[in-house]
Amino acid sequence: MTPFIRLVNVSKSFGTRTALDGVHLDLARGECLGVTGGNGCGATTLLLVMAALLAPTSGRIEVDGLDASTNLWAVRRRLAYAGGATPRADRGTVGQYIALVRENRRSVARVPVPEADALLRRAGLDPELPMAALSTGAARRAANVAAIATGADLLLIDRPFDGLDERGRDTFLSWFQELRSAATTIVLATGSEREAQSLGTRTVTLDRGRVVADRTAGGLDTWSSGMRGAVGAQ
Amino acid sequence: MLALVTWGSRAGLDARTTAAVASVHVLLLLLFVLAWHDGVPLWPTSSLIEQQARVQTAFLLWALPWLAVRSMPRVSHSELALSAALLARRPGTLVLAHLLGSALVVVAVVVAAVPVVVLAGQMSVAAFDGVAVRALDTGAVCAMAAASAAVWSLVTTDRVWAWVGAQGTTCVICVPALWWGGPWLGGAIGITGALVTTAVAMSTADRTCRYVAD
Repeated sequence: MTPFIRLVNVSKSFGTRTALDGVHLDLARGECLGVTGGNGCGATTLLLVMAALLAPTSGRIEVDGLDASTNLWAVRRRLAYAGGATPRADRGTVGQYIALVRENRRSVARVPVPEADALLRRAGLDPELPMAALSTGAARRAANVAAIATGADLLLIDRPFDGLDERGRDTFLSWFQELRSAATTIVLATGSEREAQSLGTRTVTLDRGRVVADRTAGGLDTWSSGMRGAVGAQ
Repeated sequence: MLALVTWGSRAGLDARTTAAVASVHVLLLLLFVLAWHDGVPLWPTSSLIEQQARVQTAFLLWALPWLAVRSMPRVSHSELALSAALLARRPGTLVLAHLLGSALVVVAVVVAAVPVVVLAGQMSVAAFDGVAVRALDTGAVCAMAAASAAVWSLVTTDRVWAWVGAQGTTCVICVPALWWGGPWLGGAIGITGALVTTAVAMSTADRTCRYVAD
């Protein structure tokens, strides 16, 4: 079966610093991947590269069979990336922002998305909150909801639980599991191994830009990216 | 696209500043009707409406680029790239939305003074042709101010430099066009300049905001 997203020997350097080093990764449609590792392990860079928001220094990324370097805009219509920040300059309310995202993505959404107010109520956010006055936790919730509001095939969310209380964490955990059962592919970068395991069918651990462990929920299946590359070459 | 334009105007709208500029604009033009109806001593040979048009153009050339720059949201290239990706639009489309939003703000300043211009026109018994030419000239200044503000907001996030750049671009296109272009042609050159500047802003955004910054 063709993977929904495929990374082939992807590397990314910022000057002399290597953020990703020869990453190979195949992800099937509906799979949920948790990316973990310590600070500076390259998880955020990996998500940005997968979202075609950063060009890799070398290697290839394919989404739904499309090469991201030559079909950038078509690839971006299939996915949604959410970092921790929401637009600082937006002077509207969070309800208006989510409605704008939903409206713009409606024609390319894979699944029908509920109204903005319903999404925000589920996330525990007041739609009338001004964007400029969101607390850290509320901005995190809004960023997560914005990604969900796209109805995209592939969600890439960086640190989705940062700044959330336990209730917020549970809300989004069950929401992501629900989306996964609807065949949405989800990649989440998280600092906590336990968080990654609780939501992922698969967990990848990065260390200095290299994949050092790749575990599937069913059983332990660990190998280094170097070994995996060798297996792939055979 | 309408939702995007609404978002674009909301993103940078500063209602108090817009109201302040509109008030100064109206008061300045009102002076011609209330105090200077015999004309300003500097130009005794011109009619009231001609004098008012000159002062209005000079004021708008100074004030509109400043207001347009203030109406553009201050976002970095990375933020623009991220917003464009989330909305599944090209960065150039988002810049166009911001530009149209900013154009709505500057047009509001001009529209606020329409009754005073009409009044001055009636006092001068100006021909309809003259009023229409003036509307085209003013439209050209509005369009150039918004378009150049969009370009310069991409070049720098510093509002003072963006204003200096937008002001310079607007004046370089509009002053020679309106001064030497004559009726209709001057305004047409200004509008064409604004369209070209808009295309430059959109293609610059598509090129420079393709990816987030390394």
